[in-house]
Amino acid sequence: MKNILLYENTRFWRSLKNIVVLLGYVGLLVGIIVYNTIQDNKYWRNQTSFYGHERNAINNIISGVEGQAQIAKDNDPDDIETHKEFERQYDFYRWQYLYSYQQMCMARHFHPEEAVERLQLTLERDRHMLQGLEKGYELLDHTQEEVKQRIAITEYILDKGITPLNSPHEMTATNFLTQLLTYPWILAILITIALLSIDIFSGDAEGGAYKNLYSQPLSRGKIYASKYLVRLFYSFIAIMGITALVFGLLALFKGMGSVNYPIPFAEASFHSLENTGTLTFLPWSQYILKALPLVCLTALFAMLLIGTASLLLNNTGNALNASFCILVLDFLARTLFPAESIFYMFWPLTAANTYDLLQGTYRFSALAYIILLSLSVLILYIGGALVLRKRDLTGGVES
Amino acid sequence: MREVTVTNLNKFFGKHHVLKDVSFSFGVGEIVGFIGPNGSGKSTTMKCIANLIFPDKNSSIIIAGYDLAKERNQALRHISALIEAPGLYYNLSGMDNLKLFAALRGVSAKRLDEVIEFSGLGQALKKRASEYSMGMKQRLALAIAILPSPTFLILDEPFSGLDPQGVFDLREVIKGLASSGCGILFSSHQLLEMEKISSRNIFIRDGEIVSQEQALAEASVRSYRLFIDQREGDLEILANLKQAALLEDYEADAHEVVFTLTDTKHCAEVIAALSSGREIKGIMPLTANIENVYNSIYKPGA
Repeated sequence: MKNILLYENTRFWRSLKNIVVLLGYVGLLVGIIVYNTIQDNKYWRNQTSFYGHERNAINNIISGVEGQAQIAKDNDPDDIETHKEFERQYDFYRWQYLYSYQQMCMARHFHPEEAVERLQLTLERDRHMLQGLEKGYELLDHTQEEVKQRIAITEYILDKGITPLNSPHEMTATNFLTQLLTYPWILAILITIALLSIDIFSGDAEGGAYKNLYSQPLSRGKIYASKYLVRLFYSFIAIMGITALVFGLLALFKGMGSVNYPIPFAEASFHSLENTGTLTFLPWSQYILKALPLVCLTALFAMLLIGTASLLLNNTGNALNASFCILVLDFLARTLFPAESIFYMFWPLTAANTYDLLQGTYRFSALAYIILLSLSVLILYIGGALVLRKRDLTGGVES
Repeated sequence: MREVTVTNLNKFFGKHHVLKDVSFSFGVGEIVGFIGPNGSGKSTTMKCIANLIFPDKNSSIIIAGYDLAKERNQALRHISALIEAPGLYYNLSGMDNLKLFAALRGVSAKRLDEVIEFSGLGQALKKRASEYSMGMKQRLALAIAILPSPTFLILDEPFSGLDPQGVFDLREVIKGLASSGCGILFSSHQLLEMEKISSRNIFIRDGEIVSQEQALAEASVRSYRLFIDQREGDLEILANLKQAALLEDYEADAHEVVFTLTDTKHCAEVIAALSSGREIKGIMPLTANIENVYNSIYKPGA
């Protein structure tokens, strides 16, 4: 076993392709940082515009309420209770309009040092909004659960004296890692893993080295296991090493960010197969500890999926095409199907959107996807091993 | 048990019966030619011995006393194979390729140095294998094959793509390996090279082994050298005999005619037609060389 591990170790590190892929991963991380920095700089300008649209929408609701109140007055001038209810609704929406206006003003004249004031305003508005939602007043797409979660997060930040982020895109070290685990940025990790594994079997077949390899006094099962073991070990070491390096550099130049920063989290994520709708939050450090195993399992699935393609197709180019098709399928499905679609229940790569999954966006919880991924990994691994064990290695044209 | 014994080797690819009860054996120190045209089952047989292809049930391959089906690893410890094109990692240097397979078989540094010297590639080992000529690739592949000092070596088309010097060098290498006790089974389309180094040959046709005695008998009685002074009209007679399907081939000069019959029963008829009142100075059945044998076995309709 030691010999085959050494063999695969040499193959991994002497491959120019692998070095290029890892450099590509560094490039992708830099790209993510640059993109987010640009978004960070534009964030409050965009928020100004967002609040403008929001106020227009609230204005429309107010007009609707005014119209309904007038009709009610015309129909039954003596129904005091109904008129009072319309007045309360009108007040609620009017206040929300004013909060939105205040938020727009603060966004337009953005000062990083006003972060706490901005949060206090948000908290005040959310508390007011929650009262309205509890009374049954609908406001755009806000839900009670989300607003409660936002209030809890904001209160936590203010209570703990945590320095708030300027925007969700601010590239502190901790927020960089949080961002990296969101879709589509997480694809940087999955694509890198896939590319590192793409020639795991086809690379032997293409150069003809499989004839030397599989005629050695080593069982095919051992060769198969060693290949995955070495790729897995070095891929994870390399990816985690590079990520940690970038994390360290960001901590040095952009600040570490708080390890207690609250990250939204669905309470049922690891307790039940289905999401219950109860939302809470976790300090960043705990969130990462919960998210990382999920990411690792998804990456392992991606590796086995591409490894199996490499084994079955016996051609790196075709395996690359297959992985591209899977990527496009995943991307299209996420665009076409709503989060509650049945598609996500059977699609293991749903878990790639770790951030949304842990926020309870999908019907199934993180635990369900851990089970689905584990089963898929097991099926792919055993299936591939059986194929290799039974397969005639004919390579090219027989003579 | 210092031999490789193949008994009743059968292999189906789908409905295609590729190997039909193939049986033969070869021992240490032997150089055995494995001859057959494309598609006859040579490579499939060799891949079965190298355990790249699994034979069908009831087939048996015993390597140095170990049953390949049951004691795979012990059996494969005694064998190395170089099948079809050199199986290398072309993105790696020659040296890295050697080190890679040395690591795989746990070969000692001393043995690695010996093989590096044997390869004769010198400084070229630092170059990527993709930059090698065909001869260099073959040398490297052969060096990889002999890394574990195998008892038996399977070489499939080792002369393929080599220039004359490369062929000469490889021939000497194969002879050297055999004299050091390695049993070698090798296939090639270069029959004359085979004849020079093989101690015996195994013929395979449509997945079946052809008995060597039968092949030799067939080949030896069909070709004759007729010592006769040529006269006008002889070439026309020969052409007519060939057209009448009595002769397969012929060559004629001023004092002799060499011909190969399509069937031994035509011998008297052909000699009578050629002599027709002349003195025949001599008739010599030609000793079968490997080409004669090959032609007799693999002629169309054989």
